[in-house]
Amino acid sequence: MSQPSQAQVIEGVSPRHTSTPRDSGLAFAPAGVAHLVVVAGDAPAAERLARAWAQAGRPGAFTLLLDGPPPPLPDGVSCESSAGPDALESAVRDRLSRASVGLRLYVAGPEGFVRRLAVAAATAGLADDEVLVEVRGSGARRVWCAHCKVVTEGATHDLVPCAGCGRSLTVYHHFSRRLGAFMGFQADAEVAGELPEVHERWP
Amino acid sequence: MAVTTIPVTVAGVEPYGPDVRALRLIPEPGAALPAFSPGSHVIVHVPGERVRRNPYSLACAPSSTEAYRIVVRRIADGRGGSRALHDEVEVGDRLQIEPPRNLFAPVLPARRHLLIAGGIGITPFLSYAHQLRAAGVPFELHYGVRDGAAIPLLDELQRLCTGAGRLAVYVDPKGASLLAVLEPILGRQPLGTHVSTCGPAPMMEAVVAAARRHGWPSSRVHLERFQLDLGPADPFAVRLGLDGRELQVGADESLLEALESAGVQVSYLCRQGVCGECRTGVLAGVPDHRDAYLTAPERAANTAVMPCVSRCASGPLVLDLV
Repeated sequence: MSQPSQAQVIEGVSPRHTSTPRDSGLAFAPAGVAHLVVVAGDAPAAERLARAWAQAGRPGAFTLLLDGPPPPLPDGVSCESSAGPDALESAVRDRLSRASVGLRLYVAGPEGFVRRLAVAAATAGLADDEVLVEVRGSGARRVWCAHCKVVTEGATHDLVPCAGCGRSLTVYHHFSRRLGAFMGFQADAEVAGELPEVHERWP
Repeated sequence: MAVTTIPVTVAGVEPYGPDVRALRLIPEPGAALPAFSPGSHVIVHVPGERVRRNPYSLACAPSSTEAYRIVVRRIADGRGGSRALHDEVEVGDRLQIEPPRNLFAPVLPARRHLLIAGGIGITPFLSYAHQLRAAGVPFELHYGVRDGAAIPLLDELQRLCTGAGRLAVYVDPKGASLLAVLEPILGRQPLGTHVSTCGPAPMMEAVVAAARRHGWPSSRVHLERFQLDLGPADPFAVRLGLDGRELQVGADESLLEALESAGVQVSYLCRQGVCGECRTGVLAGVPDHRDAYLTAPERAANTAVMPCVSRCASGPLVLDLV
């Protein structure tokens, strides 16, 4: 299993006190009585989880929501494909609104996708120990602008132009679980025009 | 550690059958009752030959600062505190209570609360129902009683639940009908529900087991333990430090009470083996662990004891106290 991208140590931030997400990884949770698996862009990850469920004796219903064609799956898995991440997210929200306590939600996909889904999960009332998360694919971050409050998707560099107000934002290692985004603030707030060097950090 | 108490007067008594009575407590002039959080309890200093310090849930609105209400069930074979509150305390009597503390606060971000009470375990849910009604948080309360003749607090619960939550009362002398509905109830709760339960230990164990079967993580399951079944008590001796004085603990008193009688101050909160506050080091001897706090390895190590409920299995018990 690949390391979740957020596990990386961030310079200057204590691993014990950082707000950046600590993802559980996508292990099968046998205590659940229903399993809702949402995978964007990595069908083999879904397949592995389905096999773990089958090996555990198929405890509870296993529903798989994907954004592409289904991989080969063990018997008993209910699988639905959506056209892209947005449709996938609304399909998940719809199912969560009808779900009962006992469900485990598994989310795998690019950084931005899993953070959006984690917000949907929390909004639906799921707790941390009911959601299993693994970032697979791009680590590009969602960045919430402290000035105009607009979220910029897909920040691969530590300096990103805000999609709302156009300011150059420093992508700061402060994460909001409510918004599912990192905080960004004007990079040249101290001295106008004096911008730090830009690095690619989350390809 | 000096214990702060609030002087109160018993302003009213309301019986519910022969074994349960509610006491209305008002502050004496110059004293004040603080508002509290739902699920809080107070420790009542029950007068008598030896003062008993018994915890009772506050069965009233968390904003009730003019009067508190506690509901006391008579424990016939208990250590006498509840008997005194039934047989000796009357309107106009003065009592000392300790300020409210809470070991059973509701989880505030919960979307919905499932409350399951057995018998006198209903008491903490009065303050819950007041709070949840005021906050507009949905809840359902399942209340099992053995005797339908005088169900404690029923009128007020019905009023609190009307238009705010659902109330289901199960009258069954065997206590089985509430247990029978646990599976369907726990199997159909929307995401974000938390379950809180208070009542006899077998009922709470049944709630925990049913919740586990339906996939509830333990973070959603909350228990208020009370009146742990302590079993028979024999007198024993305890020594303070390796060279210290020896105290006798009577069959009808706890180790904590014996220490307090001897002037040894031990910090405490719940006095029922739940919270861990009175944890005391053991230098020699084997405690008879009766608490719900220490982990299995801690019990086996026999290096700590909860003196509010635990006793002595093999003496002499030497405590790390002076």
